Amino acid sequence: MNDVTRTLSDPATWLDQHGDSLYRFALLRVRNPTTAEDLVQETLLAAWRAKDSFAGQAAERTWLIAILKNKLIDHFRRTSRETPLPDMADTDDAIDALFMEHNDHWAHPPSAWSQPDNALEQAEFWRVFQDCLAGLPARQAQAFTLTEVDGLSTEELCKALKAQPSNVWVMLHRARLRLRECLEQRWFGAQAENR
Amino acid sequence: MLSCKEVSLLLSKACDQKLPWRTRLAVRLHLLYCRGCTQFEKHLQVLRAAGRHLAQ
Repeated sequence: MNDVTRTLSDPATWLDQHGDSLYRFALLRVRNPTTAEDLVQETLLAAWRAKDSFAGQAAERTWLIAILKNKLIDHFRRTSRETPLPDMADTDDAIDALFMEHNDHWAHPPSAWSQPDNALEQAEFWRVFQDCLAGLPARQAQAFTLTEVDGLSTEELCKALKAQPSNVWVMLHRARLRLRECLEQRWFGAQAENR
Repeated sequence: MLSCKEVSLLLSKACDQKLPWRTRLAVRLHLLYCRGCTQFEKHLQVLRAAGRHLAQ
């Protein structure tokens, strides 16, 4: 029978056991070390307060990550209230430059990428990828990570970013265009030159 | 006729929700003769795969 009920370890050991994972998880999404630390701290405190409600159905780390995800969503809501949204401006010069002015066709059409599956297995690719992600305007990077890494639906993303669907689609699209461009220049294009 | 700028937005949007059939058709027609957008669609899939990979 497989009715193992998991129990929590001593909260005093959580930071040692899970701190690095939680921190990395948060940093990937907020990109600010201090904010990431704050979120991990809030998460551990919230977990400690809620420890009696741990049902034992998930692994301890999964449970902590779930709490952290809620903290992240709260954080995004808070920051999108506090700061106006520069990335949601109607115009974005860097994006406009990707298309020709007179007919909106590609200025430099995307080229074929060689062996993308293979790239995902290489540590160097991930360094480039993280770099490209870090180069995005903050809100676009958030929109991308929440959608593609965390699997939020458009509806959930709108709530997290306090934005209308049409805005989040534009944000996501700009994020994808920028990431694509960056990866093509720094990884896929560079590789082709070495061949 | 749709421009590449419009098609790229629609292709990106299609990652997140189902497009109306007329729009889908217009995009498919554009892709028949546009290599840039055809590549862009493939790149969107790579970005999605990369996101999934990061989630693990």
